[in-house]
Amino acid sequence: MKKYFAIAKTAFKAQIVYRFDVAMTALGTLWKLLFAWILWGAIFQGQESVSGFDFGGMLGYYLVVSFLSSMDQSSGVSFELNERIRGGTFSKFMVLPASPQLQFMAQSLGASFYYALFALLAALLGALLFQIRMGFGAEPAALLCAFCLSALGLVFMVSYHFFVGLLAFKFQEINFFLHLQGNLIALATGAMLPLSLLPKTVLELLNLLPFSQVGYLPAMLLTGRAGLGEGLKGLLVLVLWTAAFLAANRLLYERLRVQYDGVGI
Amino acid sequence: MSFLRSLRFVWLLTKLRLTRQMVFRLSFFGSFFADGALFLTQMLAFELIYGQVDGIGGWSRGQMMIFIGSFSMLNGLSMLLCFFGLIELPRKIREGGLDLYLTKPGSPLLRICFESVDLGSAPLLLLSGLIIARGAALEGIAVSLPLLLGFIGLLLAMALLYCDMELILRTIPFFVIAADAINHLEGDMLTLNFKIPGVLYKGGFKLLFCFALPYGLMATVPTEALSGVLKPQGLAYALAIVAGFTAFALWFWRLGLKNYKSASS
Repeated sequence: MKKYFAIAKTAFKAQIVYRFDVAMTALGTLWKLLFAWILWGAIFQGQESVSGFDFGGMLGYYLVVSFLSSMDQSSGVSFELNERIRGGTFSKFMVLPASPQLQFMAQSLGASFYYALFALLAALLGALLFQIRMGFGAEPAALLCAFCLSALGLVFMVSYHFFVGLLAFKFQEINFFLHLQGNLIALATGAMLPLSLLPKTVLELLNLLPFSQVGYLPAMLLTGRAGLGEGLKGLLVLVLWTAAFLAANRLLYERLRVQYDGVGI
Repeated sequence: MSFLRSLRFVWLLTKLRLTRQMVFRLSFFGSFFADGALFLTQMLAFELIYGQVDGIGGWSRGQMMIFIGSFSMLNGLSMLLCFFGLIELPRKIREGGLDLYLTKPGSPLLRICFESVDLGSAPLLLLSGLIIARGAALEGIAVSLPLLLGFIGLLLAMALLYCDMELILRTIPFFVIAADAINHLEGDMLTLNFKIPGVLYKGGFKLLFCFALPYGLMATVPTEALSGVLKPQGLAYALAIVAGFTAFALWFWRLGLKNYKSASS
């Protein structure tokens, strides 16, 4: 574990070089809030409540999901894997005495912690600018559950993106798929809009998938719109999916790595 | 270069590009799948919102569909014609790759714009047309030939404005080293404006997105024209903005070229 902790620490420090990227990602949190403020402001002019949300509650929801999505740096894993496998520079991960999956995990989590600091600052600034009053009306156990979901969500997203990145061994060019799934995931995690707007059956189906537990459920828990029971159910779903992906990635890596020629195109 | 010679030149560049693109067959339609999914998820998001509310800022469901289809069409036209060429411009300026374009016969701007034509984006135009047609049907618009021609004309004018903005932003690196900042800035502006119709902007945001950075006009004006609510002053203003920004883009490009020092100097 020591070596992975060292990788995470190095990734954390390395982000200092990419100050502009960090600033833009933090600014992204404010852009998302601006979007919510303008669009939902127009919607709430006609009515008091939409799907159980009032205007302040809706902004609170967007504040939490924007913070969580700004913190999550896992999409870089699939892009880096794709580039390295295509370009023939993945070899370095094969010769190092460490598991590639855990290396990428440590790297991504280290970066995420750094981004989290600035995303938090941006969220606080956003709360001030848009006068969002976070109620945190949920019980302490539910808040703890939201924290666990957010942390495990980061781990799950890395394992998911590692899985997607590994497909480059098989298909060589997966760039378009990376963009395609990015949009779908934004919808499925609730980053685009609260999933409670979906029909009940669709929402129940989505609750069986891991993505809604990564953004939507923590936001609902933190804004006091979901209870501990739902939180624990979501946590169980996320634990199962994370374990499944981690195991599947190990198998898939062992199976596909033999197709890697190390030359690049 | 005469118009006919320019056309022949563009045709030659298109053939060369097609040959290169065919190497990666899986990603040939990559832009279509990625951006098609983006606009379809956007459409779904608004369908869900309209399931809860009657109108957004006075806009009906049909108008919103036309808006999304129009933005998708502008994006598709840009990707089909010049986006993938212009996006490389900051790198060429930074690394001195522009030297090659300046020493070759013919217009460097024409070559940069059309050397990366992306025929794989063409189906996006069809998809956008279908979204617009659905919006028009929902709105109960009886589309006459003059209305259709007027709408297409406005879309083409706005596509020109879209490309003007791409050129202006990517000409800035002639003066400063800010390639990533520009991509981020443009990405944020587009993400915000393809979700929010220009009619929702008020005060300073209206000034920003309908005058200084006129992304707020691009899909809003054609939508208003098709749904019959565009006033003559609105039309005149939009056309004046297109003419002004086109003239400015070309002037700014020439000024940038004069300021170009090549990487070796």
